[in-house]
Amino acid sequence: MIAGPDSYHNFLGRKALKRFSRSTVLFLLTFCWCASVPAAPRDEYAVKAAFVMNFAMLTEWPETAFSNPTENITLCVVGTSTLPQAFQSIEGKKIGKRLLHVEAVDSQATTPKCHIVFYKDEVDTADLVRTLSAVRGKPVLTVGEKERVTKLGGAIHFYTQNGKLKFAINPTVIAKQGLKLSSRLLKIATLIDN
Amino acid sequence: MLDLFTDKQAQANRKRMGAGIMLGTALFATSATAQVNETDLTTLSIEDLMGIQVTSVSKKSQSLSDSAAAIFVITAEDIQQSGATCIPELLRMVPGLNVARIDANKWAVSSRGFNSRFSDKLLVLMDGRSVYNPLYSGVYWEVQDTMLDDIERIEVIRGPGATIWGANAVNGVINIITKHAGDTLGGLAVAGGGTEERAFAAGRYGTTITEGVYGRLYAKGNSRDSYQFVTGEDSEDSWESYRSGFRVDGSLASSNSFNIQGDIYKGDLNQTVILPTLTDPAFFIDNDNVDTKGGNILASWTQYTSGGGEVDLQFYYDRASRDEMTNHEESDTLDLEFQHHFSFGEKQDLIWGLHYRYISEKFYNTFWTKLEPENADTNLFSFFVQDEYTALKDTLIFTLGSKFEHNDYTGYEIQPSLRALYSPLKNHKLWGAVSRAVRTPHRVERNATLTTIILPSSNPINPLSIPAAAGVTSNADFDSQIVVAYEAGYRYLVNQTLSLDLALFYNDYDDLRSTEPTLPTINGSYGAVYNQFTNAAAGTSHGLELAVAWQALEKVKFDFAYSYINEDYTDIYITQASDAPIHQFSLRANWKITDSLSFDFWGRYVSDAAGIYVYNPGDPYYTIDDYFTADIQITYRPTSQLDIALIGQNLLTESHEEYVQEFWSLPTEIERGVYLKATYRF
Repeated sequence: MIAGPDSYHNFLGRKALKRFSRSTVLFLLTFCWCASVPAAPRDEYAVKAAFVMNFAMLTEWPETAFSNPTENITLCVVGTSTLPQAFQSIEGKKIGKRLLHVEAVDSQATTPKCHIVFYKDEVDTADLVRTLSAVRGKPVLTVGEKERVTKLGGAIHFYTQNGKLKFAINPTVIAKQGLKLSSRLLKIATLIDN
Repeated sequence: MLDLFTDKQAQANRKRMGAGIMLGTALFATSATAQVNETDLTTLSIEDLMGIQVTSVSKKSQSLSDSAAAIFVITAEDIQQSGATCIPELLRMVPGLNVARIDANKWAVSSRGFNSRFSDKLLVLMDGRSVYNPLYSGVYWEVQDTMLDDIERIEVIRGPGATIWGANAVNGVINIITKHAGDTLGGLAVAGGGTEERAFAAGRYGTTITEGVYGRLYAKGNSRDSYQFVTGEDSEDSWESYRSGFRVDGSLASSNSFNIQGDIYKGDLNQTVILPTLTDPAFFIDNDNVDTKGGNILASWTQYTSGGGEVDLQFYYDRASRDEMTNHEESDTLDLEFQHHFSFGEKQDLIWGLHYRYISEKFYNTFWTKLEPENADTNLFSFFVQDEYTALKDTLIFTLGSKFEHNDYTGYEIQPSLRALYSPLKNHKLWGAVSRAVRTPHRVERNATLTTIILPSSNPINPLSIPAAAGVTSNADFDSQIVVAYEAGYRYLVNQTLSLDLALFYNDYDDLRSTEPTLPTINGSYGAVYNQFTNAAAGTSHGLELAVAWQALEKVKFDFAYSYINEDYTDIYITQASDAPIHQFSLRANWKITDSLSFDFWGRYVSDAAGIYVYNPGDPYYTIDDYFTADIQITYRPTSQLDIALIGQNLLTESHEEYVQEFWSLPTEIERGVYLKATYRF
């Protein structure tokens, strides 16, 4: 693919051809390397897990949310099926002075102590309403896969636009939960008020 | 026991039926695809993450049910794609069910045989509220309705469900489950009309009442055209129905959920009746107006315990009245239910419950229907317990349980079942079940005399020299009808786009309802030669049901259902039952042509059937020809808020016959219809 077709051999001198080929290779390599990240579509959960980790880094919890300055940040992934591997892989990631701890929570359970709750789409509405009501006004960042979660009082939901993941934040809910989000996060989010 | 009420309870119920029902198609989450050699996403900044292309997690894919029972789920999407405007029409897609429309406003619906206007072996629940009529244990389908857009799903279980749901769940259970109020926020308006669906309008508005508490209100009205008799004349059975209701769902803490809901309805139904009379020519045909009214209110509370168990409490009150030429009936039902579900050790999952129901019925006798006594109050108590034992995690699960019930007619009834689910591989599931269920007597069998025909003195079967009234009469000793059902099933997920669900059954019935002639009596100027209900019939049935779901292309989906039944009961003349269609096919296709245009097709075939029709000249054995029919829906979605759909129903022939009511009615054919519908969301 890189070596030119036969016609080039005739048209260009050997040296020119060599130079051309080398620069083409370099150019194409650079291009391919740059393109590799956005070109191959990634598993949605892998991207969501990475987003959630970033939310953890860009959120400030009140001191009362932790018993000590190095206590783990607990991320509860609520659903009826197993924890997606992507979420397992962010276990133990460093968030400032703290570590991220990921826990799978059955949607029928009463929610344990969590700093972030990620609701999988399969969670039924009754469970969603019940567990959201338990964290109302408390310093817990609630994130859902669909708009349903913010409609029912959650803080953040994901949505897809042109095949890319975006997210929407309800600042009123964030304020009520006593959380502070970095301006960097607010700048790129879609702000909503349900 | 009765209640699929909140989704939470639905989950508990799924547990009871085996190991949890997964919807036939469900949102499938591809687990992390672990594409090595790719950038570790966690090293990217949040701004870079916004630029990553993702594969959809929620692409449509299929999973297998974990239920050790023959189950089929009609989803909200199936409802939207069906073009149907009422609940019984939706049930035609379910394998093992026979849905036959009698006239414009009457249906006969049954599971695994015994179909009739007065089908009595099927239990139907709407959000946990039993809707069968206590008089004859059947369902007046024409008054069971709600906004179809607000239905979350309809779960249909063929075969006995009596261990959990109690008497009447002999051959099947239908659970109609409406959406949680948190899922219906905002407004919805539907309006349309056409040739048979003359005009309809419906509106719903849902809102947040307070944080964590949601509610909706709805109202709807339908006006439907009449059909035609087999002779071609208008059957004058047009009808109108109006309904309004609400639903509130919420949680006061993470340890509880509650629900309150209610409906009121009114129906104005026309019908043509053929009724016996003592004057010549011994019968008359007349137009009758049926007035139906009713309402219900239901409340439930679920408390979650820290150990992962839950306690449910549910109460409802239901009132229904029906006034027509042959009868005027009123019923008031109070129902209270308690359930406790918890795990015991690693392997035991237990559920038990208590249930009480009180029914007060008023009846006003007519020449054709006489109840003795006219009014009756009945009490029903029951207890059930069921254990789900995981013998091998994710591989072998046994479910053993029984219902213990006490009713006013036959006293105690025991209805046990044993089920097993075996999953040798993730994409193969096998199940088997043995269960016993009973259909306890209803008031018609114990208290009623129905006069269906007057035999002139010249009639050879009239032993008297004066005209004689004939029909059926009650028996104070009429007992429960019993089935022992042997079932097996196999589910196979061929790949992520194709799944098969096969169910086999063998039902062994005993003490089935039959009728026997009584001694003729003379009642003044006319005689009486009635047949009395007895339990002298028996028999077996066996059959097969197959459901296939195939996502052929990203935008093309097929759903196929086939039902086969072979019945061998005591003589049809004695049982006054029906011969079920041996073969039934249903094929549904959905094609999403573009984002704003979709096409649905639904074709059906039902083979020959037969029933007893007392006015059939010479011989009451009445055959119904097999039929093919098809519906088509074209939906155009100019914006995300608006759908415009054009629907054609029963398109293949101008009209066809599906069923005939045993008496008091004339054979009627279902007509082709076309209607236009607009749906607006705001």
